[in-house]
Amino acid sequence: MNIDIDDILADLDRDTTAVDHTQDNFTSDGNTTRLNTSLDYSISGELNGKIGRSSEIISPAEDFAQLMRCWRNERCSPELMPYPHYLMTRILRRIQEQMEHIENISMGFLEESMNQISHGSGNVTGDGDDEDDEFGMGRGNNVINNNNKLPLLCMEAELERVKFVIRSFIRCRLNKIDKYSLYLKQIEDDSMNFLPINELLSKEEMVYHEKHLSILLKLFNNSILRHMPPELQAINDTEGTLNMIEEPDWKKFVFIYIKEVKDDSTLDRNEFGKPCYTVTIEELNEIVELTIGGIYVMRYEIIRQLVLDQKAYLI
Amino acid sequence: MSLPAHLQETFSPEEIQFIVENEPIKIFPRITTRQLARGRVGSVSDKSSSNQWRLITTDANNLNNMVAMQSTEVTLWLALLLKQQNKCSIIAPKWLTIKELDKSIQYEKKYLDRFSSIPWNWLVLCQLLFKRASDDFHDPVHELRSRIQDLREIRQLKVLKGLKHLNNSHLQLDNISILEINELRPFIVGIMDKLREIHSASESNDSSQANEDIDI
Repeated sequence: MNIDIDDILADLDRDTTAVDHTQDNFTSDGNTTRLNTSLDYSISGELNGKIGRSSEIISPAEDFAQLMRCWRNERCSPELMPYPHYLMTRILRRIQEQMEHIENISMGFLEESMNQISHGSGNVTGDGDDEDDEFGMGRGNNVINNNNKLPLLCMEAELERVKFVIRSFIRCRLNKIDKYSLYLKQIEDDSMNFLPINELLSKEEMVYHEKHLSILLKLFNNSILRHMPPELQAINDTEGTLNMIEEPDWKKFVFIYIKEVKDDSTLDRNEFGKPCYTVTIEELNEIVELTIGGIYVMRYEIIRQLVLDQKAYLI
Repeated sequence: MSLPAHLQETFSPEEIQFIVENEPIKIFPRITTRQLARGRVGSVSDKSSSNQWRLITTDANNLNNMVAMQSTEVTLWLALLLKQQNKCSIIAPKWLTIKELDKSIQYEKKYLDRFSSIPWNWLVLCQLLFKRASDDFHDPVHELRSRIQDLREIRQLKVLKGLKHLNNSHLQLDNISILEINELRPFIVGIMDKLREIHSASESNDSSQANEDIDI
């Protein structure tokens, strides 16, 4: 007698949410155009459609969550992750717009208080500078004005939070660029590589990478290397007893969280019927099941692909 | 370096708090921000645009539709900000009651080989709420605090036990919280890296290669 209508209900649900998303896109000032171009581009040459998938749902909240994930991955991973170009453009543009928005609103407040001063009791002298502004509000003679300040306060706080994440993210990347500069240079020269360097780095990071490396090389050359015999002058010698190019430690242990992904063909089921990914540690000939929702300490090289596909997060 | 050395491998506790602050939480607003359909009279109505919340990281819909004493969901940092201004009271999550915590403690005591499934941010969230919203709890805060302390100690004991099993392949630590991960990270990762190096050095036939690995 029981008719299972879950799938029908799910269908209905999906419809309404779809409408919501399109509305979101249109209201968030011109995101849609950018979205289209990014989609086209991502098909031509992104790795595994990573960007393509993330741009299916574009909302500020989703973008910020994505940024947080990128930041946390970057902080924990031993290697330099690919730069999220489209995500960053979107967020940076939003920050710009929000800053202007806040500016406009606070202009409004200034005007309002000026008006109040001129309309209100005549004992206040007419120059409505900032201090007067705050003071009038602080007295709290009308509650509405106080409430008006609250959104502004929160918007400013939020802006600071986003800026902090971006700053920390970029600084972390710059740190890695410093550390792996010779290795990156090697990738750049090597045309066989899986990822072109301009996908890996942003434009500014490219500039930083090149200039910083050349400055460093100049210092080394002038201070010590030119006094060396010619066969020892190379800075990127891989032949000697020690490899001079520092590669990321691919086998470094990291903490990962296995995320739930619907309808994934690489998912297996373990003996308890729980969905899991199966990975092999080749060095030890060991097979490990990573169940969904579990937390593991794992070698980075083994779960690297899962991280790039966003099936696992570093924590 | 562009990133301070103490931040290169792990997060600082403040950053962990920052991450946790992005989670949603339920509040009772003490202000009403929902605009009436007919609009307001006089000078306020034309200011209504500046009265709107426009946020770039979260959905501002909830914030524009706050009605005093009707529960709604906002991000934690916003809730704390509003709380600071006395504009809302925070509803403690379900698991943060004496009853639920006692259950968790029971579970922890019963199963010695695993952690109970309290949320990944429990320590940070408790610390934040006890400090900034201690008047919003139904249960007496000092009792909650002591139970949290109990949980913390039981779990620490388990962690200490688990550290015996550090190895060169992998570890599974389900339901461990983010703060616990963060305090263990430098130690666990460091030890396991060294174990791995020793193992791979003994495996590889090329002894000179192995020596290099250890030297570094």
